[in-house]
Amino acid sequence: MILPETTTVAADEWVSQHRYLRDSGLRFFDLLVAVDLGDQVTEVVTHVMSADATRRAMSRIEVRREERIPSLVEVFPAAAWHEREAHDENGVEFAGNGDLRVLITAADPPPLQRSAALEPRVDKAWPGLYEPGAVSGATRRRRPKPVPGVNEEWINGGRQ
Amino acid sequence: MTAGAPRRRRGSIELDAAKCTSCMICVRECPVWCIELVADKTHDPNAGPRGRSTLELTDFRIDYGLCMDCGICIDVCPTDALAWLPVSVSSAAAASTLNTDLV
Ligand code: SF4
Ligand code: SF4
Repeated sequence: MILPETTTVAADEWVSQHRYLRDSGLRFFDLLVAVDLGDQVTEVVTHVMSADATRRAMSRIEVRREERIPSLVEVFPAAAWHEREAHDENGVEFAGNGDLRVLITAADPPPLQRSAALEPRVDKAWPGLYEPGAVSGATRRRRPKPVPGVNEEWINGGRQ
Repeated sequence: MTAGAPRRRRGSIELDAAKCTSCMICVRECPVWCIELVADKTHDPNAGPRGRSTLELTDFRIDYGLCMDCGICIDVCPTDALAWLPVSVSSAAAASTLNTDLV
């Protein structure tokens, strides 16, 4: 499947953009997903298509942690469940969606935010700290650079 | 090879210890921190003017209780020492028993 270009939409045009897409025949609301881009910004992406799947459109919006984006339920009722999921997993707030009840998890921070520590990261030190062949206790010449998604404060085990 | 299984099925991960240089790249890139590696260093003072150090891999553990089959370790390995093995990890009564030494 070849995905269409993704249009970046401002918050005040988020609903009208989707109404326009629906009214031009893209009546199937396929998905809405959220990705934590880091620096307190979450990206929300939607994919809508025509019933015969010949035409598609993707839209994206960036939302800062303390901001809300308007809900799409008045245009696409099917968006309700996806928004509830994005609220549950990424903590995105959708203004106008009256049913953002907990779906799977009530974790704080929500599990798909990059600040959320997975359990092994809290319980143990980063295995990447080990230097092959080093004499135990010897001073390390250089500290390995953590990869993206590994927070500095987790490196030695978050609970210490 | 399991009969009928697609060749690159994500069953479990195979390590070719002879190819592994203990570079730690896979250990550091694994998103769920489930790889642990131990390597011993031996120094031969008679090889060359300053001697030569070699690393010998003694332990390469993947905790299949945590591994999510993402394949990042396989993708990042510079020596292609890791590969998919189309054999699934059996279920176990205790998660701790899924921590498997591949060496
Ligand atoms: S497949 Fe992914 S989760 Fe599993 S050991 Fe490799 S990098 Fe880690
Ligand atoms: S990335 Fe490859 S060579 Fe490096 S430690 Fe892992 S398996 Fe060995």
